[in-house]
Amino acid sequence: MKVLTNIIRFILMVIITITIITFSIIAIVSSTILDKNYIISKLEETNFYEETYKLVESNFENYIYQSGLDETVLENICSQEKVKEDINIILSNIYDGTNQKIDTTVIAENLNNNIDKLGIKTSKNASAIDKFVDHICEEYKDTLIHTSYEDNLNTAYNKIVKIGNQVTTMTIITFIIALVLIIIISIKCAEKSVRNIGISLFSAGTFNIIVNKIILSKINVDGIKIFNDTFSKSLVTIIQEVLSEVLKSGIIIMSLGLVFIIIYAIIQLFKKDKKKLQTEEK
Amino acid sequence: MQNKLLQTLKATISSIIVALFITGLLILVINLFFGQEIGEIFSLVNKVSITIDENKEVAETTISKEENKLINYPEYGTQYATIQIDKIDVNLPVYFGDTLEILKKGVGHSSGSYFPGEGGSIIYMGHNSKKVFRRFGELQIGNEIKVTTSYGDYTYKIYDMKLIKETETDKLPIQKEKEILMIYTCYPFNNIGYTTQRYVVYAELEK
Repeated sequence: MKVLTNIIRFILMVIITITIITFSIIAIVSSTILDKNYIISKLEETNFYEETYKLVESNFENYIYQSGLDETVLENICSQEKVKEDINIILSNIYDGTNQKIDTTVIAENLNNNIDKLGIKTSKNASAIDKFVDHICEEYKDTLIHTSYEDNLNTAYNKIVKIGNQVTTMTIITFIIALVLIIIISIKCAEKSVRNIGISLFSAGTFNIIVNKIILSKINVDGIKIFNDTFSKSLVTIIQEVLSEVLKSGIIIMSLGLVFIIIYAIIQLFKKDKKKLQTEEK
Repeated sequence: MQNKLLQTLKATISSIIVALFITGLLILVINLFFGQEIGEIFSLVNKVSITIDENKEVAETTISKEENKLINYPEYGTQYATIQIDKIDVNLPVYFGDTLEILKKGVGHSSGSYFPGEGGSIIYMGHNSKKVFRRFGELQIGNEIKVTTSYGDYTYKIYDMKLIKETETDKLPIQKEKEILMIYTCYPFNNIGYTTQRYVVYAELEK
């Protein structure tokens, strides 16, 4: 009977460990990658808007050299505020499911005004100039963020949030059931519940720490390059921060587990002393 | 007191051992069931991850005159020379490579062609903008083009100019019998929009 109880207790401890790990990971992901405000704050922290604006200007220059037009036509056709507004529109499309489009009318108008000022537009080159303006507007959209992924990202985001909510509910229910069962099993010796919870916490914390170390040893996070340097810089910062949160949560959960384990050991000691005293008195 | 401390430590350690056992078990189970998928994710991420060796020393480019071959070729995207054409006031950096980013900075060196001093076809290109080759049409046969590299200076004399279509790559032949510098830019020089013609200047090594 004692063996069976110990096996059940062990299984319950494993279940509690899994629920703690799941819950901590969901909490981290929800408060970082899945949180639009967090992403906006990270983009601001990594100068994403400013760097993207510079990138937009630099990519415009690529076209100007090929077009044969004077570089001055690109002056003030776009602003950093416009870039920021449009990036936030894209983020809203991804996170909130809004279906706003990037409006390049202002850019086209400014560009056409600059070209008109030079007085080079003729009936012969009008179509070439119009094409150039269209190219610049398309280049702007492409540089901001690869906009074609917006719909897919929004679908994936909604799916992840839905699954996340379901998993959270299941995790909480499982955790409560396992906790109640472990308390019932240890009803005769209540401090054992403290030990079992302590072991689960310690185990979950260690797991998070090890996962962090494994990921860092297998992946060169700093060197991740996707789309362009500006985007990669922000992405690397976010990944690093998520991993650091995993490590931090691991240390906190492990320490908490250790406290529980030590409390159990101290209670046991007092209990033994009491028992010894009672035997001596008899 | 010491005995009590020892007992507390013993109880703590035994609990920690159980905890570590559970952690190990979980990692083992995850590795057993999802190891392959996790490995694939790692390798996928590593494919877009670049390791830059900041301590790597860049070896100096030199030339072996016996073999007519460079020792330690310049890295792609780096400047390795300057080009000077006095006739049209051109003095620009030359980069190894021909991407849009490179052409924005100066003159590009087609990566499929030879380097100055190697005795073969050298292909340079640049935009027809004011800063680069807008005045290319003013060049005449006999004008000099100076290329200064870290391993030597080379002077070429223009012997021909041609207008070609962008698809006529046979007009820019790669050979290693004679050192020829071929420089091209988009034509017409002040055209607006995309151009399909290229203005090529051919020059041979003078000294």
